[in-house]
Amino acid sequence: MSLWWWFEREWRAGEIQVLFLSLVLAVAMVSGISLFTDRLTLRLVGESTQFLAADVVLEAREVLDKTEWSSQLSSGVRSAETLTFATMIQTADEGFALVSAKAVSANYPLRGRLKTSTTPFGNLAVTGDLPAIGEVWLAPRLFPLLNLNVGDLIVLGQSSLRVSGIIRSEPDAGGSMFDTAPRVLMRFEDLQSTGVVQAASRVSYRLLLAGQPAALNEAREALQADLKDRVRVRTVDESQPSIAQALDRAERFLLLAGSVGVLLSGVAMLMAARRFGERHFAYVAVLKTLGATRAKVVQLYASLLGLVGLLSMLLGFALAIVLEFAAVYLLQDLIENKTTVAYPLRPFGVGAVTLLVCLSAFVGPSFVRLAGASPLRVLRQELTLFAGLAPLDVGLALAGLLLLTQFYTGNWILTGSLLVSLVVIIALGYTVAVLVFRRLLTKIPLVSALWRLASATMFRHARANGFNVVMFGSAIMLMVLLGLVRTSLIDQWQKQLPVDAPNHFVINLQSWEVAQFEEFLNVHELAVQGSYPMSRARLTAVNTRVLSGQEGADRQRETNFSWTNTLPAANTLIAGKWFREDEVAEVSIEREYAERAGIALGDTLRYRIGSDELALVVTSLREVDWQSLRPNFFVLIEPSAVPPGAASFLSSFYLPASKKIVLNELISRFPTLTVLEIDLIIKQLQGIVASVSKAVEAVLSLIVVAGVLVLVMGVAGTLAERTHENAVLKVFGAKGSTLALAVWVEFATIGCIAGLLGVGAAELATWGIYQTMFDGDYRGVWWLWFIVPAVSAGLMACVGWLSCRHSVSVEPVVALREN
Amino acid sequence: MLIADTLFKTVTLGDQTIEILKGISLEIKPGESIAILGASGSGKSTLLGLLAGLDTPSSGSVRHKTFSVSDADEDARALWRGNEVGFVFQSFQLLPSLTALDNVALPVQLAGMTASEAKARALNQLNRVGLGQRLAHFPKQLSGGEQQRVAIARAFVTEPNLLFADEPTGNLDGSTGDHVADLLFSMTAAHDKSLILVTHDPALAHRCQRVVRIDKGLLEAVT
Repeated sequence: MSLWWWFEREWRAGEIQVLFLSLVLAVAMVSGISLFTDRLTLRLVGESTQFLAADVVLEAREVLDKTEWSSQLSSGVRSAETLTFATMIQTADEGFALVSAKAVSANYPLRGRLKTSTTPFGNLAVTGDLPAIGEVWLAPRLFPLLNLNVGDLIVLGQSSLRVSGIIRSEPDAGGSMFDTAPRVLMRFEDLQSTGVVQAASRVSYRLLLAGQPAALNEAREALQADLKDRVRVRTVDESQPSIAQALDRAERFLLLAGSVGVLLSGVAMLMAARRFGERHFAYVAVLKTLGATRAKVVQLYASLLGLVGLLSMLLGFALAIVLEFAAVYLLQDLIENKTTVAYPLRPFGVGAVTLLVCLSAFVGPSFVRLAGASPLRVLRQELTLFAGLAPLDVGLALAGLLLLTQFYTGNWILTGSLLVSLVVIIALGYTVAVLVFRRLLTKIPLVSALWRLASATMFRHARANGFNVVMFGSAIMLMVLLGLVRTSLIDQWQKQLPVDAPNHFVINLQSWEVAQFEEFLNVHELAVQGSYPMSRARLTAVNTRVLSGQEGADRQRETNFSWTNTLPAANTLIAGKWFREDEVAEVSIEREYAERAGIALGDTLRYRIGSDELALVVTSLREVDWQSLRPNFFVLIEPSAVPPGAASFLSSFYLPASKKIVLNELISRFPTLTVLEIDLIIKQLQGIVASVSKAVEAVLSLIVVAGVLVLVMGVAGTLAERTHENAVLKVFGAKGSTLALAVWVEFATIGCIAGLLGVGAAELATWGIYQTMFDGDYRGVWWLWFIVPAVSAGLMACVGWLSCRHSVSVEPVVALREN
Repeated sequence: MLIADTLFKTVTLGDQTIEILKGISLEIKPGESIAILGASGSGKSTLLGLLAGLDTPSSGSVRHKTFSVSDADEDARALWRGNEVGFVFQSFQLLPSLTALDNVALPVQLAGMTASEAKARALNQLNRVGLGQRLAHFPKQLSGGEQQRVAIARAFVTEPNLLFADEPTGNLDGSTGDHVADLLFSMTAAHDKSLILVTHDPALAHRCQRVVRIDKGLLEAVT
C-alpha cells in the first residue's frame, strides 16, 4: 500500500486534516513569531546602531593614522573618522565662543542621519549631506550668541570657514551630553589648515565601522590586537545602556510570547492527536483483524505522520513568512529602519525542532497506543483508546513542553514558572472539573428541563469535559499571563519615559541667575524641574594613599558633584546611611563609580575644590536609575561640608516642540548658559518602546487566534457524539431550541470553570516571573477573577454554539443514519 | 482443523470477577459450517473472539492445523488471521475513508501483494457479490445490504480457510438478510471453506451443517 495512496484517502476522509492544520498552525506560529522577533530585533539593533552612527566604534585619545587601521578592514567593512575637540571660534565682529568642534570624514555617519534646519530651532530636516570642505555647520545656540547668520565667516584656529548650515542633531551625540559645548561640524580635510590640533592636544578620536557582522568582528579583533590599549571599543550595548536595556527587555518579552505560542500549539496538537487516535482506533482494529501486525501499523502510521509532518512544515514555513510580512506591514509606520533585513535561518530551525518535538511528545503517544490497539474492538464497540488522561501521556506532553520552552527561551526560571502553573492547572483543573461535573451538578435542584439536559450532558461527559477544562484553562492562563506581563512591561517603560520627561538640560547657570531663570520658565508656562548646584572637584587621596600623576582614569579624578540634604529621586541607598547632622563631613558615592575607583564604605576621600582641601567620609553608596533621564551625580556631598565659592547650577525642563523658539530668547537673556537638547534622544527611545509595544500586541493577537483554535478543536472532538445524542433526544421530543440553550449553558459552565482556573494559574505564573524577571513584587489583579471567567464563559458559549450548531440543527434521521 | 480445548475466559469489572466461558471444547473440520447459537450475553461473541485469535483465553487452548493460536503473540496471530481467516461482522466494519474497491483490496495489500494485483482480486470478488458497478462508492453511499456484500467480498479476497461471521444479518431487514445469507453460504460452499457463524437467530443457524448452543458459558450440541 503506497504512502501517497494512504495519505490521499485519509485526507479525503477529513481524518488527517485537523492534525495537519494544528501542525501547520504550530510551525507557522512558532516560526512566524520567531521570525518576527528575530527580524524586529535586527531592525531595532539597526535603529539603535544609529546612536553610535556605526555598528562598532573604536575610541582613542589621539588621531589614528589611516595606515594603522585601513589594512585591517576587508571589503565588507565601511569606515569613517570623527575628531572632537574643544576650541574657540571668533566672528568678524569680535564675538568669541567656546565650542565643541567635530571634524568628520566623507562617509560620516555610517548609521543614522544628520538633522539640520534652515533657521535656528526651526523645523528639522534629515540630510545625507555634510558641510563642504572650507565650510562649517553650527549649533543653533551659536547664532543668537554670536549674532551670526548663515553665509557669515568664522575663524577657527588659522582658518576662516564659511557658515553654510545649522546642525541640529548627530546620531552619535547622545553619549556625552553633559560635556558638550555648542557644536561646530566641520570636515576632517580642514583640520590641517586650522592648525588647532597638535600632537599633545586633548581630543577624542573615533573610528567608525559598519558592515557584515562576520567581517566586522574580524576587523574589530584585528584592530584590537594591533592597537591594544590605545583604543577602547564601543558597541550599542556599551554606549547606550537605556537602549540596550530596552532591547533586552523586548527580546525577553517576545521570547516569552514565543514560548506561549509553543505551549498553545502543544495543547492544540495534543487534542488533535487524541482525536485522531480515538477515531482511528476502530480503523486499526479492522486492519489488525485483517492481518496487519503491530510493526505494520507502526510503519503505516509513522510514514503517514512523517508525510503529514513534512507537508505541514513546508506550509507552516510559508505561512510564517506571510505572518511576519503582515506584522511588519502593520508596524511600518513605527519601524524607522527601512533597510532590508535578511531572513535568519534560526526561526525555521526552531519551527523544525518544534515540529519534531510535537510529533514525538504530543502526537506520538496517541500513535503508539494505536499500534497497541486491541483488534477486539471489532466485536466490542464500547472499547476506547483513551480512558481520560494517562499519567504517561501527561508526563510526555509536559516533558515536550519543558524541552520546547527551554529550547526557545533558554531561561530555566521562565520555563519553571510556566511549567509549575501548567502542572497546577492540570492537576487541579482535572480534579475540580470532574468533581463539579460528577458531584456538584447533581446536587443542584433540577428546576428546569433545560438545566437537567445541560447538567446530564455534562455528567455524561464528565471526563471529556474535565479534559476540555484543563485544555481551555491552560489556553486562558497563557493568554492572561501574556496580557499581564505585557501591561507591566509597557507600564514600566512608560514610567521611565513619561511624556513630560525633561527634554532640555541647562548647565552653567549661575547662582544669582537661578531665580530669574525659573521666573523666565514660569512666564513661558514651562514647568521647572528643580535646579541643582554643581561644582567640580579633584580627588587627591583615598584614606592615607595620595593619588599621584595620572593615577586613576581622568573622569574619576576630576568629577562634577552636587550637594543636597535629601536623597534625590531616582537614587536608592544600597549601603550605609544618608547624611546625618554630626561633626563628620560626609559624602555619598554612586555604586559603579565607587567600584571603578576602588572606593569602599567608610573610606576617607580627599578632594580639592578650587583652593580648598576637603576630607570627606563615605557614609553611603547609592544606586542611580540612569534611565530616569534626571540630573544625577556620582558624588553628592553634605551641604555643610561644601566650601563657599563659585558654583554653577544644573537645571532641566520640558519644552514642547511647539515652543522651541523660546530657546533663542533664553540664550539671549542668559548668554553664559549652555542648553543641551536631549528631546531627540528621548523621541528615539520612545520610538523603540512604541514599536516594541506594537509588536507585542501583534504577537498577542496571534496567540489569541491560536487560543480560539484550541477551543474549536476541543469542541470538534465531541461533535460526532453530540450529534448522535441530540438526534436521539429529538426523536424523543426535545425541541431544537431547548437543545441549543443546553449547549449554551454547558459551554458557558465549562468556560467559567476554565476561566477561574486560568486566572489562578496565570496569577501564580506572573508572580513567579515578577520575582525573577522584573525584580518586582506582584500583588495580583482582583478584577481579573470576575472578568476572565465571564469573558471565557461568553467566548466558550459562542465557540461551543458555532461548533455544535450543526449537531443541534441536523435532522434526526440523517444523524442516526450517519452514525 | 480448528480445535478449541477447555476454554475459560474471565473478566474483572471493578471488584467483581465474571466467568464468561467455563471450559468450552470444540472441533471444526475443514469445509464444515457450524453455527454458535446463543442469547445476548451468553458469551458467543467472546468465543468467536478467542477462536479467531482476536483475544486470548484465561486458560485452555485454540489450535489451527499446527499453529497454536492461543499461545501466539499478537503479531503472529495477526499474520495467521491475514493468511487463514476472513471476517464478516454485524456492523460491517468497512473503513469509511476507503471506497468499496479499496476496502476489498486492503487485506490483499496488507499481505504484501502489489496494488494492481490487489485491485484485480478485489474487482473479481466485488463482481462475484454483484457490486461490480459500485466500485468507487464509499460505505456511506451504500445501503446496509450492499455494505455487507462488500464485507463478504473482503472476507473472501485472501481465500482464507476459516470464515467467521458475527450476526452477519443482524443489521439487515428480512429479505436483504436472506440475500446476504444466501451469498455467504454459497460462496463458503463453493470455496470449500469452514464457516463459523455466531447468531441468535435459529433459522439462520440451522442453515449450517452443525449447530451448537452456548448458554451461561457452556456449550451444548443441538444437531
